[in-house]
Amino acid sequence: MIVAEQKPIGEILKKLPEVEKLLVLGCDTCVTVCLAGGEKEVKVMCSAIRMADKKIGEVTGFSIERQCDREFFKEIEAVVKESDAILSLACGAGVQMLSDYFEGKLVIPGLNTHFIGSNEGAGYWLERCLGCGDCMLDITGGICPKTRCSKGLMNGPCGGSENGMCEIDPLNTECGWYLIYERLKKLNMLQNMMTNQPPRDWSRAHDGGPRKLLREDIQP
Amino acid sequence: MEESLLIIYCSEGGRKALQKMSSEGFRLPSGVCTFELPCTGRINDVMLMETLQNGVRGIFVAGCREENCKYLDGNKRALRRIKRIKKLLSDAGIEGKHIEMQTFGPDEGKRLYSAINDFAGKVGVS
Ligand code: SF4
Ligand code: SF4
Repeated sequence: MIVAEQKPIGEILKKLPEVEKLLVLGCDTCVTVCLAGGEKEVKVMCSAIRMADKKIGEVTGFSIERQCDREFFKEIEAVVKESDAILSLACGAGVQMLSDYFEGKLVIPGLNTHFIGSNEGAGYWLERCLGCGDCMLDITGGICPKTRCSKGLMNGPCGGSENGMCEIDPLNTECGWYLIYERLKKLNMLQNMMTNQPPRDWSRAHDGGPRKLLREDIQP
Repeated sequence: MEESLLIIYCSEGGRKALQKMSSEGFRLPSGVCTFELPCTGRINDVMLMETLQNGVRGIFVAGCREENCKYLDGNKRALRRIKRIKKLLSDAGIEGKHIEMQTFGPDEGKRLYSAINDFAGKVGVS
């Protein structure tokens, strides 16, 4: 899922325009799971804005299934029409989709979007994928070197790996390539460590503007 | 409502301390409402923020002593949530709204009484 966190409340309050009607819009998917922008966070945000000394007439809270999918915007057309600005508690994709759909309506981002990651435990999320467009997890035993190795090395580990930890932060950051080595050992696939991986194919990664994915069989 | 103070207490240590307090003849200041929860761990951000927004000036939470929570660590969780909400209120520059949590043993009626009175004084409810 997409992992995000709320911007500091002081920064949000500073960004908010002094409007008559403000809509705080949550997203019920990724950012609900990472406790940044779901229904509960919308309620807390609305209360905070109402109590803060802001010149905003009316604050309304609402949350939809997904902000990155236009099909869910229909249900809020009326409430958006009534509002002068929207504070979106979705990830960057959601904020942009919202701004596209309701062109002419000011949309303010309430979150900082961080990464594609996993839920590791209560209140703990870990980055797992950079969206490189060229997945190699079959070779590395299901652990991504591009993400988990601090240097994104395609062939590792480097000389900075010690006792399973990475030299950039030996107390808190595991060496991605150490994890890969241990996993491959369990899988009886250590020979993969001996295969030289070619440099990354950057044409599939973030290159030349936003990447697009089109499926002809699904197109109208 | 504007002058009010809400005491949220758990049905274990908090309640017993309140009972002890009244059995010893100490009375709650006027303008104070009480609300019982099975455990202070039931407290959440929405509950606290909406209560304050609806006009309550201060919320005082009375839970069990740290090592005595019937539900293991509900009181510690509540302490952490309250710390976060206090920071939110101060970062947002929201003035005149207060939250505090303290933990009590069942026999600490007098200490609960003075804690509530100190808090009421700070919040401006007497
Ligand atoms: S808008 Fe962002 S947070 Fe919401 S569902 Fe889409 S990707 Fe997930
Ligand atoms: S190899 Fe690429 S697609 Fe696969 S997990 Fe790593 S970043 Fe994500």
